[in-house]
Amino acid sequence: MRKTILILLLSLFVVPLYGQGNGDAQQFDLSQHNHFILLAAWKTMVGDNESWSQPGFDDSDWETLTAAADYQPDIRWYRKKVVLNGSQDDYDILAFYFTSIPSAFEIYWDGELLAKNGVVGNNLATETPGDYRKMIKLKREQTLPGEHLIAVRLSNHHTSIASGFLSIPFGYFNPIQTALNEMVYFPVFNFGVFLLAFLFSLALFLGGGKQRPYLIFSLYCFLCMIGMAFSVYPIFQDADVTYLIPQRMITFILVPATGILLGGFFILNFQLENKYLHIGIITALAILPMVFFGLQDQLFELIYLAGVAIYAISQKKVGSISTLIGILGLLTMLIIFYWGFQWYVYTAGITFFLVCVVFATSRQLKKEHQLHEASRLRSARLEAELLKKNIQPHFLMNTLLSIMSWIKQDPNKAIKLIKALAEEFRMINKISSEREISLHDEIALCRTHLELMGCRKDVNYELHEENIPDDAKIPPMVIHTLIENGLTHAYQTGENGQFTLSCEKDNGSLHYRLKNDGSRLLKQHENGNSSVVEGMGLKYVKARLEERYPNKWQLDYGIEEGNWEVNIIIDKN
Amino acid sequence: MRILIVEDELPIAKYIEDMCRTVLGEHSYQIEIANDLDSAAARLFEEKIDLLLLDLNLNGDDGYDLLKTATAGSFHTIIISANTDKAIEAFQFGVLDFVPKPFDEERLATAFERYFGRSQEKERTTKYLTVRKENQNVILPIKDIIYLKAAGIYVEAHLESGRVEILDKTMDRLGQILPARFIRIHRSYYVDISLIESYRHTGGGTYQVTIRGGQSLPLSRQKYKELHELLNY
Repeated sequence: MRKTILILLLSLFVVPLYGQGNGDAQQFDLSQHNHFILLAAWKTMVGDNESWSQPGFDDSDWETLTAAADYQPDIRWYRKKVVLNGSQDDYDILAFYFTSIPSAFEIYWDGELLAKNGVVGNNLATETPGDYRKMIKLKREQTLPGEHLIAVRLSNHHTSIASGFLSIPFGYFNPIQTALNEMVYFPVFNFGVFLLAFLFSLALFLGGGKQRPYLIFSLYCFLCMIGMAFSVYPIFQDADVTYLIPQRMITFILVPATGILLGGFFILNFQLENKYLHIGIITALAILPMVFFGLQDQLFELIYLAGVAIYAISQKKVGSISTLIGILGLLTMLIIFYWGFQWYVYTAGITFFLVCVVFATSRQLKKEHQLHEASRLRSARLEAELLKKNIQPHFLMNTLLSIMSWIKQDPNKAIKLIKALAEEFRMINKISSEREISLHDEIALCRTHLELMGCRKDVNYELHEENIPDDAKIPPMVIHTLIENGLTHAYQTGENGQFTLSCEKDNGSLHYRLKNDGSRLLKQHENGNSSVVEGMGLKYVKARLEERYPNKWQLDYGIEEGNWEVNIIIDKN
Repeated sequence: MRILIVEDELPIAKYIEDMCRTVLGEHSYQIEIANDLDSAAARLFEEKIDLLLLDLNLNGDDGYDLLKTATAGSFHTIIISANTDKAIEAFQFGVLDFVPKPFDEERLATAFERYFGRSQEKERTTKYLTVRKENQNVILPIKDIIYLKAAGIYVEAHLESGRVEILDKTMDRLGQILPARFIRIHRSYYVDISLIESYRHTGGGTYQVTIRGGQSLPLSRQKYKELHELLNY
């Protein structure tokens, strides 16, 4: 199915508007005032003979061009009969317009020289290139109803690498002029559209944290802008026909380049996996059809990108639906454009596409904003949680009651407890707004807490450290929370406790291990009750790790060699 | 009087114990301390205690389970906790008092006043009683109870559905935690006053209350007067 569509699409512009007729006279109805026809199916002959311009000359043995045949450098004649039917309006005049222009030509009407563009020559030296554009008007007395002969003598030495074939709009001057205007205004309009899109995406790149997709898209718009500038420049500047060469070369570069950039933009923007594979395929689709078939358009890339957008939709990527709509719109318009060379269709396609991309981008920005907002809220919540730890009633009120009880039983212990409480408050206050603190500070905080809890429970708690690097860092109160959990769950009343925090470096990852020697969890484990309900503490620890090292951490816990231990592995790469 | 203190921090447990001794003074009492849920639960039903002083946040395990267990027993429960936000819930389950940590002698003395029934009672907010059935604590909403009837050391709760549940609490202790709408019409009966349809003298010095549904319950002579004043005021 897909293949059929490809072939169908391909056939659409390999045969652009050619091949009608078989060398017979083309008919033109003079009573249709807004009308022009494309002269095609010329009879042609290499060589040079003045009599070939004459209506009476017998060209029956000449070759008939039924497909687009590029100009050759050498002098060649083309002949074509036109039959004018009906009657001409009083004010209108007929005209030719050369769209795809050779280096130099002469055009004859019924054997009379009508116009010259440059000087037709045998070689580069004798040929003089003519104007880039040429409109030739016919006098009213020349265009009486009946059969007329058009003969064209041309040579193409100066612009031989810029291929072209003879296809001349012929008909009333006004509609030709209108079509001509369209060929100017819409590219200018397109230029403006791309300029705005370029500036818009460049601003997004510069002002929005230098995200590469925006830079790539601005580059795409910039190159499209350049392309449009090249296509309208000779119209404003009255360039000569040799301008075709740089124009053709720039097209040769711009078409695949813009295709690749556009593909790159979508691939990066949707953050697809295998991005290099995708970009490789797009590059191949951009270059190969041009090299092998001389096709200068982005049809294959666009079809591929439509596939990419469909995949992105299946992956629920933000903005993928509007992107697909934009690509399909552009594709449709391109096909219509190649069918009829209606510039406004092309412009409509481009504009529609850009609007869709901007819409998709704004959706992504909104999503990003939401994510940012959510992470900000999460951080604020984590900070609040951290601060709450020390004023939560279970901790604070029990500590105060402990102080009251020690005042009666042993005032020195009460003083020690108050000092430890004050110290812990001070330390927590200092680190509360940090997302990461020195592990040594964290250890000091844990020791203060252990001293406090030891006083409260009238036991001795200690924290030992092994291999802690001097520059080690950790989100605040992660170890503290784990120790707190250990105190709550691992120890029986009156039991002394030893915690050990160790660190191993391993291939750029840090492995922290916190052990405790409490007997309570072990006993529960022996009784077969090993299920651990993950409480608020563990949730806090995980949220902190995720905030600081998104997707780059692991946490597990369990009994190892008779000790309860918690392992945190942080991938530093 | 036997008191059981459940508190996992030894110095605090000792502090509570000391304070109890000060407050109780010349009363005769016996105090025991349990450190965790398991040993506490075992002791609650093995030994007959009169008063449980319970730390609601025990070693991280949900004190709520223990709360249900506690209120199912024959004893009174006083909660001692830092988590004052649990107070309303605790009262709904029929605890005698909720003492917020930190506290002093005065506050503990108030709690004991309640135990001895000497304090001016506030409106009780008890909503549930707990029934212990086959080692499980079943919650019994008070709104389902029509009347309570003493049966030896237990109390029968007669429910609207016609079912009867056995409560492991004495009439007097229930009286301390029941909402005010339950009035004692007889040594052996508490009834929801809003369900009383009529009361009368049946001759021979006996009195009766008829409640919704037509059932008659005995009314003591002294309570007859109280009820008469209460309802005709």
